[in-house]
Amino acid sequence: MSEDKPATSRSTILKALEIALKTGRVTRKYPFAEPLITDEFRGRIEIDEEKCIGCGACVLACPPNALELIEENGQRMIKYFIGRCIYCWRCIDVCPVNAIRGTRDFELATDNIDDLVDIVVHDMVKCSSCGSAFMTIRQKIYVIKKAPLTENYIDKDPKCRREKTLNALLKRRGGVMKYE
Amino acid sequence: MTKKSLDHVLKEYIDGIKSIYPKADYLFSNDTLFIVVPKEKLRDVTEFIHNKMDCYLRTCLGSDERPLLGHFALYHIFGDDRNGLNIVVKTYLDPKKPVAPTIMDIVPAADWCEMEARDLLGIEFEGRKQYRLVLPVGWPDNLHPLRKDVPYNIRPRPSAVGERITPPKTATATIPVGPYHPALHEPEYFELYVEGETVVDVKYRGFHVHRGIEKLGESRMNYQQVNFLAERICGICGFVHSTCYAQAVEKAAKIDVPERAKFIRSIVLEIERIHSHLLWIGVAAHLLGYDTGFMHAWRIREHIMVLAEFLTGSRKTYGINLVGGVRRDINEDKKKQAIEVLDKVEKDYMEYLKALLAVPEVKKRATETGILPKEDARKLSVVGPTARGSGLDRDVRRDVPYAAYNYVDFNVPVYDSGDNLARLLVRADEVIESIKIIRQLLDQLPKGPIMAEDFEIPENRAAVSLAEAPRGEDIHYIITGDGRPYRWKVRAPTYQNIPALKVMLKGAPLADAPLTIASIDPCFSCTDRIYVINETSARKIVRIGIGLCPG
Amino acid sequence: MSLDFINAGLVLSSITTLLFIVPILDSIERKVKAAIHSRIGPPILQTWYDIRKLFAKKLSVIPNPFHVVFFLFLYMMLSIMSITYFITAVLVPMWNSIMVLIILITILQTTFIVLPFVTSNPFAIIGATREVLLVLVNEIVFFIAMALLIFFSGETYLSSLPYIHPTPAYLILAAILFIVGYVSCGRQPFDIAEAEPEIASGILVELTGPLLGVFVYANLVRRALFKLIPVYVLIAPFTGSNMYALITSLIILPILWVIYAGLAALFGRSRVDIAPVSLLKLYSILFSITIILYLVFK
Repeated sequence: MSEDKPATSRSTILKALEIALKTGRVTRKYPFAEPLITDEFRGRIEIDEEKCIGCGACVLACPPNALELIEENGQRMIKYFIGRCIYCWRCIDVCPVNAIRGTRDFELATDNIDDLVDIVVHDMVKCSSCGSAFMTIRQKIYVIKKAPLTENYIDKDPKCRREKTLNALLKRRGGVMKYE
Repeated sequence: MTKKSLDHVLKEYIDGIKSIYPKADYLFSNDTLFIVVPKEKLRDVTEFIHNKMDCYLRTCLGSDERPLLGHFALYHIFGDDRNGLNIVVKTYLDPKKPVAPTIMDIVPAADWCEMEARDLLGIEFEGRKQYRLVLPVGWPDNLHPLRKDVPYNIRPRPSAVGERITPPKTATATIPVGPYHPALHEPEYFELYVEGETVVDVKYRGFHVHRGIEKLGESRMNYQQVNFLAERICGICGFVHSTCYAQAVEKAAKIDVPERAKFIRSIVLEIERIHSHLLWIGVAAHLLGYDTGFMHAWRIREHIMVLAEFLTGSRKTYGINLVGGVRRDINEDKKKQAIEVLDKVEKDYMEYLKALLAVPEVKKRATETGILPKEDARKLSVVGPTARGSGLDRDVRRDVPYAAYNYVDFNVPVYDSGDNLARLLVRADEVIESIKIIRQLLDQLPKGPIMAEDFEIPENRAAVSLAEAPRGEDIHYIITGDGRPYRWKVRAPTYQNIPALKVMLKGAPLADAPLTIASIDPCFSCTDRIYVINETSARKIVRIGIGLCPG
Repeated sequence: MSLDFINAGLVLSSITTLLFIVPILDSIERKVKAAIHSRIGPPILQTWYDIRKLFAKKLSVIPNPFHVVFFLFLYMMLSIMSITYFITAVLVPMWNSIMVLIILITILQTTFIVLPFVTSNPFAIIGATREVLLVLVNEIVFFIAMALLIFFSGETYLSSLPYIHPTPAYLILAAILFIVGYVSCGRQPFDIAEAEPEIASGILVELTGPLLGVFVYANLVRRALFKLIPVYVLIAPFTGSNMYALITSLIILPILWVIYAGLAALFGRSRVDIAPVSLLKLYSILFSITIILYLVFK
């Protein structure tokens, strides 16, 4: 099978010259010229603060933990650290409200690490019975819009909600014991 | 292949194993025959499968199944390429003190994977010399990271043991250089013992960049995240790994992947092969001092890189694989542009090859250097162009078709001479075959979805998945678990090919050593070297490698 | 004849021009290679920038500094001295100047070979051992070629070459000198001493900063010398005047440099056990031809 292969065909070292003449110059003065990327290129992501509801779906999907969910002082933060990002855009796939937008930026070198961090801060809802913060206000609005529930339920964190349901069930059966 | 002959082959295997151990359990699923034998019979069974049935050893792996079954398990995976079969031989080992018989004397290729199981799971192998292979020198002796009771983020205090270069007593100088060297590849460490300009012996020490990827996949990530981790096993042929992983999970969970997704996977796989081979050809030209060849190979490769980015969104680490399908579609516009790029690349590449092979030094120096005879190739179970350059006709794309390879028609180039030129020509021909394959795939691209809908991944299913990477076959073995793989074993092709370097380098000129090492196409990153002169006998040791800290 | 002002001015100006222009010629070489690679390549003053940058760096202490620095400066002085001597000898008749040139070049080449050996750097030494073989073959051939040149032309004055009658044997000798010059410049396929990917970095691996700058510069001057000699030997008989011969040689030098650069880009690297053998074969064929031609046309 190797008979008609280019491996055996005759040619001289001048062939390279011929190729070079025909090709011309292909490199460009890159930092001063446009980079060679197509429209499909995946670069840094941008989180739209207006749209984000702070649900954390992107954090769960992110393979390298570039997106982190931090909760402190009754606030929830979605922290995007570009230094860890692999630009897979899985977060964009999973975001329920299309708050994440992909860009074509890739020239991200900086001498200030803060430039690589993007934080979206959300105020949280406090549980009406135990007082612990458990979801963001926007998340609550989103849930109510998607699945109208009584204020009673939505204002409780999952633990209190379960307790309340079980106690209601127990009461209905005539029991008096409180579910712990 | 007809159903009947498959039944016939299976019967042959099962009868053979039953004759050794009548109570052997077996199960046939997908293309894999799972057999359970006690460890006392392991060597007999291996002998039967490897010698009598003429199978290759794909790899072996240990698994900590104490939380499930109260045992350690050892799996030996064999491949029967003629019949497109995998044979997995499972052995249960004692949970307290796992000891297994070695099969290294029957299958020399088992050397590394046995030592890897020893390092990572603490399985001892009887009847062979045991040494530390994967773990770093300072790692505690009885901490086996792949055991389920070891957390993935453990950071043991390294003991103060250093790896030491022990030059001959008469040596006058020891010079460490590193950790970077721009022209050599992979953080591997070779010690070449030379006399004058001739290499007389070779010592290898690798695994300096063992990243614990398997442990990470088994403990921190979920099924879909592991795709992206798998893609990062290799910087050049990452997509093969993520495909291989996704296929393993899909096989284990019996997920029906849409045809269109399979086609897109195959197209991207072949694009990756073209880019990888062109990269290699360029670097080989550079190693031979022919920088014009280097530059033009990479100029042609650039078109492929841009095409890959256009189709997937990234020049490398495409990130389009998920369990169940792919994330980016190829529409009519992309198809048209892809064909245009391929036409240009093919034309340029044919001319380039003529120019490259016309350079007298390239041919002269690649011919009859780094010879790997066919018998050695067979014994060491080498894979990919290294095997095909030594006359072994193996290619899992054809032998155990996956993705959309059974829809296309292509040649598997095989050369018999086993030298560097043969490996170069195998790669050179494969580029042309890959272009042919992509054209056929684009032409036949079926309509439909690109992602399987709603599927579940049941626990405790196992599957072997193969994929032909540019350097040889990747093997991923999966045991499914709760939300993530329970055991994920990866065998990259270079793992199988490096031991063959010992054969290739012995007796060869020192100047050819870098080309020979490169000829198996280890993943490129960095290497350094250390060199000792023994003036009394003019016998020198040249060390190529990294990570050596003398003292 | 005495050294008059015109000659003194010519010698001085050609030396200064040469010493300034040599790094530019190297940049042009890089530019030519880049063009063959389909690249943009560096700017025309790049080699000067490189040297300037090297000299701006810290002078770092190396093992055996005395030997290395001594041989390094000896190498640079010899390079400049040889080329100065060559140009002076072309313009001003100096008895036995061809032989002096041979001796100077032999010392220059020896220093070049010895340099890596005194570093005690094994990688440099691997390169040097490879270089020794090649230089041995090449030096001997240079010796014989120059000896034959004296024998054929009957001249020991470099400055008399423009007045001899060029015979075919003489032209073949010039061709041999061209090959010697090409090989001595360490271009592909004869760059086996500096074959970095082949575990032999030559002296380059040992030097940094200003010392490397000195070496790079001296090497360029040596390259210029090895191009000037064959050009002069070839064209001198056709010019009829040593001043014209010198000026023409200086004009041809950049053209030859470009041709060599282009040639180097088209070859791969040979191996130490192949290159000297194939060179020897080539040289013996050429020598046989030149001797036969000499005997025939005598």
